Amino acid sequence: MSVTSVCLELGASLGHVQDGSYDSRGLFKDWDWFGREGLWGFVGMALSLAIIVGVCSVVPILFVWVERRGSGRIHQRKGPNRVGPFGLLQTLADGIKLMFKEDIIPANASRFLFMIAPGLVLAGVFAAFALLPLSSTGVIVDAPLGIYIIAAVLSLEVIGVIMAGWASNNKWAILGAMREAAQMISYEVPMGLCILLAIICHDGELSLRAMSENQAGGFLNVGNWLIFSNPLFAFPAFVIFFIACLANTKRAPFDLPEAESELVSGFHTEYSGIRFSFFFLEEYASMFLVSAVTVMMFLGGWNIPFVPGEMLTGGFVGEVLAIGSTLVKTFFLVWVMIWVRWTLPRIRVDQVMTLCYKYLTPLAFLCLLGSCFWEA
Amino acid sequence: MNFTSTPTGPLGLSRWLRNIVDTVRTTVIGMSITIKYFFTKPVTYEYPEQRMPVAPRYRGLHYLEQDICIACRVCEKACPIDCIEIRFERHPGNVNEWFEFSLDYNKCMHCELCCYPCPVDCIHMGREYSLVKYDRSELIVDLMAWDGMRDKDHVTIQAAIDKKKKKAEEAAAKKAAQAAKAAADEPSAEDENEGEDEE
Amino acid sequence: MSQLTEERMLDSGEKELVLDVRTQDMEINMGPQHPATHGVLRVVLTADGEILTSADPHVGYIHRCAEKVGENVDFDGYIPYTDRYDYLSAMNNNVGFALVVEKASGLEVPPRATWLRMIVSELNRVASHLLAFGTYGIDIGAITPFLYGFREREWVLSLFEKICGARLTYSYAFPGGVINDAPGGWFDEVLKFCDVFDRKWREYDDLLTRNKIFIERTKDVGSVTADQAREFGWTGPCLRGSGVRYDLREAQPYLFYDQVGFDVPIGRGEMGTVGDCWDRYWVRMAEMLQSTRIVRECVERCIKDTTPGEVMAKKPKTLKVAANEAYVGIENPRGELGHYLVTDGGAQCFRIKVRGPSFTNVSCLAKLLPGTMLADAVAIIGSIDIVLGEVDR
Repeated sequence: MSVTSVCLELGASLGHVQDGSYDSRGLFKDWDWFGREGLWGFVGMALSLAIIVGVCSVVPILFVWVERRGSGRIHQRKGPNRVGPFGLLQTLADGIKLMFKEDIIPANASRFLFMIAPGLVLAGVFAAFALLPLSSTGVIVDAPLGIYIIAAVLSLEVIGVIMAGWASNNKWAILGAMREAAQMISYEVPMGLCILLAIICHDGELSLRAMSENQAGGFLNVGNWLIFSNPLFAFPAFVIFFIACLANTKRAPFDLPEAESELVSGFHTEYSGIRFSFFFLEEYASMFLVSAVTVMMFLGGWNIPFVPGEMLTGGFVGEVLAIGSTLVKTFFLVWVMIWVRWTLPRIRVDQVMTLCYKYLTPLAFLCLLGSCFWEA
Repeated sequence: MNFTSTPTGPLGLSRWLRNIVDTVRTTVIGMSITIKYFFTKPVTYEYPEQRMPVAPRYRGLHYLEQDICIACRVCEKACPIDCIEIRFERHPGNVNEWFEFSLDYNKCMHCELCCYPCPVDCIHMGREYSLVKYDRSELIVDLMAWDGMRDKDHVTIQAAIDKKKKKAEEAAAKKAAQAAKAAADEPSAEDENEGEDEE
Repeated sequence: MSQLTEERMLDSGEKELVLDVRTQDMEINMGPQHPATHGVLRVVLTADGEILTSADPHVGYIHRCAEKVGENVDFDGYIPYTDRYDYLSAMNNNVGFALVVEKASGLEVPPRATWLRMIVSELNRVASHLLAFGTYGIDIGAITPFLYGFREREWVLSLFEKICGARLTYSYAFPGGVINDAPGGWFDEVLKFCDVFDRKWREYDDLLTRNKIFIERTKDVGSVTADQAREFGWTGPCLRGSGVRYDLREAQPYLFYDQVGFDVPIGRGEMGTVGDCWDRYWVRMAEMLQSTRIVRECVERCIKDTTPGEVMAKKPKTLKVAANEAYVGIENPRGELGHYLVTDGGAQCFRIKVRGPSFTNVSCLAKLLPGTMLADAVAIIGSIDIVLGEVDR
């Protein structure tokens, strides 16, 4: 689907929200712990927004720490442990350092594109956070086309990367950008097929919140999780989707665009200071995003084993439990991404295409077909 | 020569399946190894606080036992890159007045070749290895504990000088005595000589 | 840029335009500062997209006139310089120069010194191959094997620190013997290292060598046939990776290599064609196991056959060698390290020529790289395992 059509759909769904014809569950409609009227209503609203935005922006910083400490332990090193307890504030210190560093723009760079590219990359990911539910009501925009819009918005990031590589006027950077383009057209196919599979299995629901709600109940509140309710086809699809997500986030073994040992630093070779940190933050933010999407589609959303699904969709305790459960599952997937990165070598650019077109796409088709019969 | 990097041969179903199985299997094996080490203790040291134990033979920064150094300059000659510079003045009584025994750590490659030929075994390589300085000039290190001479050296020199003087006096006295004796033994000859000189 | 070159009519009556589509090749400077060139190698690449069309290696960035220095310092004083041409296998370099001086001067080396030289040479081979293994992992994109390789390498370095006092530039073997006898308990620790290392080796095998992605990245890449390898003048693991069984320890035994048992692993094209990157890598991995095997035997013989303390021959304070010439080639971790020495009766070399294996091995790049992808270029440069200190000397 084209970006234009997605934008139209997004506009339409927002329009529905405004004229009340669509029963939006988003915009914290149910988070009325302080009432919905007057100043307290506004405070409650602001607080809810702060929780979502806060989680979404603090969590990537935390992941950087997890990655550095985790890789350290995998290597039998210690990792950062000087700033703050267990080195938790190291990322913050690095961020402050990067902020005060000189923002170098190469002499022959395309200045305007060079300057806006990191912003575009970051905006792409953070825009998608608006559509990401952390619990049944903890979502900023619960668009009925949720998952498609997320998939479309995530592609925006690729444009930023290509822009950055081209504008740098650096040969390594342009190679990195080319690789990113080649990689994107490869992984989007199996990724889209797996999204289709999830939509089919979730009764045609496109909203991530609805998908998660759909997975409540069953044996021990686990039985309806997509990978368990449809183990033969949804589980491989989950793995395929996860691999495509790795490619999407430019994580090893798909870190070709930045391929440190080949392309020096790839598309962000010429970036420094705060603009570099945007790319850095984007990587971890998109790790969180795609993991959360995977959780919502395949791993039962916010549902917790042994806890009845109804308990998680209402009340303060339920909200906290649901957000906690989503975060724990997402953290686990992010950890697996980190774990994979520190285990596997990088694959070659033609192998990415081989993998995506010759292996993942047929498998995804097979799973899709199988799921259609399974659900029928 | 034609080198290809792309795999050749058809991708049959069996190879296709085997590739998938191999990839999954080896990835799982690899990940099990990495996670195993995740739960083990780090093997690294936190450098400035903890330091790795250094072997007794470690070739670190030099130290010089200046008291027994005889300033023979053997180490200076042995150094393949001439990074040792020795300046001293030898005084009576075998006392060396030291000006410099400097080692240029900009050049030094810690080969220990200066230590082997030392006849009195006074230059060694210690266990200290940190060479961090703020300026290159600080890397030219004077290995001497003290410059010049010590107080007791003056006594030694004085004693040596006195001894020498005394010896010289003794020698002179002896010579004089000898001369006197000789004069006593052969007065005529001397007188004749003197007489001749005067004429 | 595209250009209309021809316009012709097809039989069906349609008009066909023949376009001469040409893109401009991109010239890329890989190095001298590049993470994958293992130092200051500079390769000028011409790339058509990701495919390389030509490659031109430039060397000489860290030329330090090592051979000329040899004409100005005495024989003992040159040993620290030999440390520095292939700084990853300094022990072997020391032994190589010591052997050539001994051959020219006729110095008799005590047997214990020879056994000790063999032990440290083989341990250094393990350390050097471990680094090659780790950096090759990094070249391919896996960072963890590098850290694991370094973990074991540090142990070897600690063993060297115990016996000679240095961790990288050892200056251990001198003409006439070695400087120090092994300290107490050293042999036990060496044997313990060999046992632990053999276990860790299986992990490297599982983690990187048999990893499917790693195999896919290295098999059929940069394949060199045996004839081509000989034409390049390759020696060492690169040559053996192409299936040629040529190891100086076996072909022209020096030290006591004829008294110990070991195999010479050669590339058999296990994963793809013979002489591809994987084969060269595999030969290094297999050699490490052979090295620990040699070390075990040497330790046993050293303890059993020799008396402690006799490690240096009696030689004059300043060794002077009568006019003579000698050549000794030894099996370095990277190939044949040859020293050709001419003396004129003085205390210095009249002329010393060093035949570095990395220098001859790197010559293949201009032939090997065209036609491969950029990522393969990194894999090929990594697989010939060059040390730029030795290329330039």
